[in-house]
Amino acid sequence: MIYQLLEQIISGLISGASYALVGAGLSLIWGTLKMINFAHGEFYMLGGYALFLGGSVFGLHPALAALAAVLVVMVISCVTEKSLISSLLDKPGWDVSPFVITLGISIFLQNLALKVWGERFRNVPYFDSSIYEVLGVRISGQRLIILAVALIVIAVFMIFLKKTRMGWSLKATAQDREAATLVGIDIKSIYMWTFGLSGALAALAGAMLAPIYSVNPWMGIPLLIKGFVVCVLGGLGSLEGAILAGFALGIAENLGVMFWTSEWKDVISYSLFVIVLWVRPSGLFGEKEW
Amino acid sequence: MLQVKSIHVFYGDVQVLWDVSLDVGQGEVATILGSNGAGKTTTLKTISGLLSPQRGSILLNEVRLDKLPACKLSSLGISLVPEGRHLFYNMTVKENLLIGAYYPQARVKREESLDRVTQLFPRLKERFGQLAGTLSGGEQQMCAIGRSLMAKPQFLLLDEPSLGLAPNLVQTIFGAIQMINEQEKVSILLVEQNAQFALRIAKRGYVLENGHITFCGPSKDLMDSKDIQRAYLGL
Repeated sequence: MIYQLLEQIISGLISGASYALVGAGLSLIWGTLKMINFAHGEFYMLGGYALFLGGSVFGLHPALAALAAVLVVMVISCVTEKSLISSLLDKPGWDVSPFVITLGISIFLQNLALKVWGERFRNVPYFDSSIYEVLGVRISGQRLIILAVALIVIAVFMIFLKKTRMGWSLKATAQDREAATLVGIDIKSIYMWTFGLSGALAALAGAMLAPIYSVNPWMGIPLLIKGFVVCVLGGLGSLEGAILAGFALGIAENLGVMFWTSEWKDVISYSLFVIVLWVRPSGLFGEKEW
Repeated sequence: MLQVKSIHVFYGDVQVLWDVSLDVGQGEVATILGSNGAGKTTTLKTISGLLSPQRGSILLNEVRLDKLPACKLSSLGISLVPEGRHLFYNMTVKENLLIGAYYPQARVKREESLDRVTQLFPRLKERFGQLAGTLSGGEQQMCAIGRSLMAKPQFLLLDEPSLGLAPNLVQTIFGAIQMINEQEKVSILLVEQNAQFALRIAKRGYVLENGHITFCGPSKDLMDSKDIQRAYLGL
């Protein structure tokens, strides 16, 4: 029983890591641009395809392929923000248009992927196919890599927000756009970088999970919904909240599987979601923004 | 130093300012009086670049400001302390001040600027590690003024610095504004509900009514004018 519990907690942490990465990106965009990004799942999908292309077609080392995937998607998100979203933001009376356009981008990217790469699921080999024993639990190397990379990236990202000029500008813009402009922050460029960073986080999750779930044009949809759940659970706009809620949701889902079959995973997470919102409508970390 | 030349400003289709002109000289303190909704805040927001005039121009030391993006203005030496403070409430007091020294030339001197701000407002030093959102109203106002000073402005725009403050704090804030003007040689354009105080520290005043400048002259003339006494000084 104890062994089983430990096993589920560890695999919960691992699926939680991807929820946290995806949720953090959504939360970042919500906090800074005050908009919902429906195309977030597609940046995750593009991360998966970019890794597949880098690794299987160009024959790059998995680490290099993942890095390339993150950078390529980051550039794509920056360009998307600059060309399609930027001009729609902060326009009085145009409040819903940024979010409608991301819905369009999402549909476009799914169909583009379908056209270019076809509907066949693409398999990507594990980065590390050996099995390790951690605290008596056997875990595949791939899953350990996901957890380690996610934790490192989240830590680096937090330090970036806390310590760098760019990080401060980002936080300042999220807290008060007018004041940010007055101290001299170019909020338009912050919007672009926020979008880029958010896309990069999603692409990282997509690239890390590609070997486990295989790549396909629709892989972003379920994860986007999980990402929203995580954001709302954590308290909208709270970055730390989204990250903690991501891990919590992963663990809760996996613990639930101990008592029910795994088809009930989503039922468990959405029930949890409804209950938390019932008890704490502002989310677990709602009042305290970052 | 600062010249506002007949600006017309709109919010969407609604015109808020008509043909507003102002002049503030080097080292001078000027004030704008006016009732709620007269366009005082709009005037300051336009000067600081948050709004752009549809006609007219704004110059600081002969440099045209109104065609520049708002985020460039702090590096040209102009800084607005906005109405309602607009602090970064989830950052500490120290972080709020440090981020005020944002553009490179101010950033190099930020330790020195920090010293001067804490000399001006010793209270802020005691609150350094506290989140700005947990400060009292007066301390928040000090922090907002301090943040603007960190950018080493030559020209400070102050929007309602005494709004909602207890009388003794109003004294402190006005004392500080005078010190900023006298010791740091910063020119000031002040918008203030408290016309008594404003006219006491300002050399010249403008009266703004429904988006038009209706009177301008030395503070003494404004204080002596029967109309202004009745409308703004409550005499």
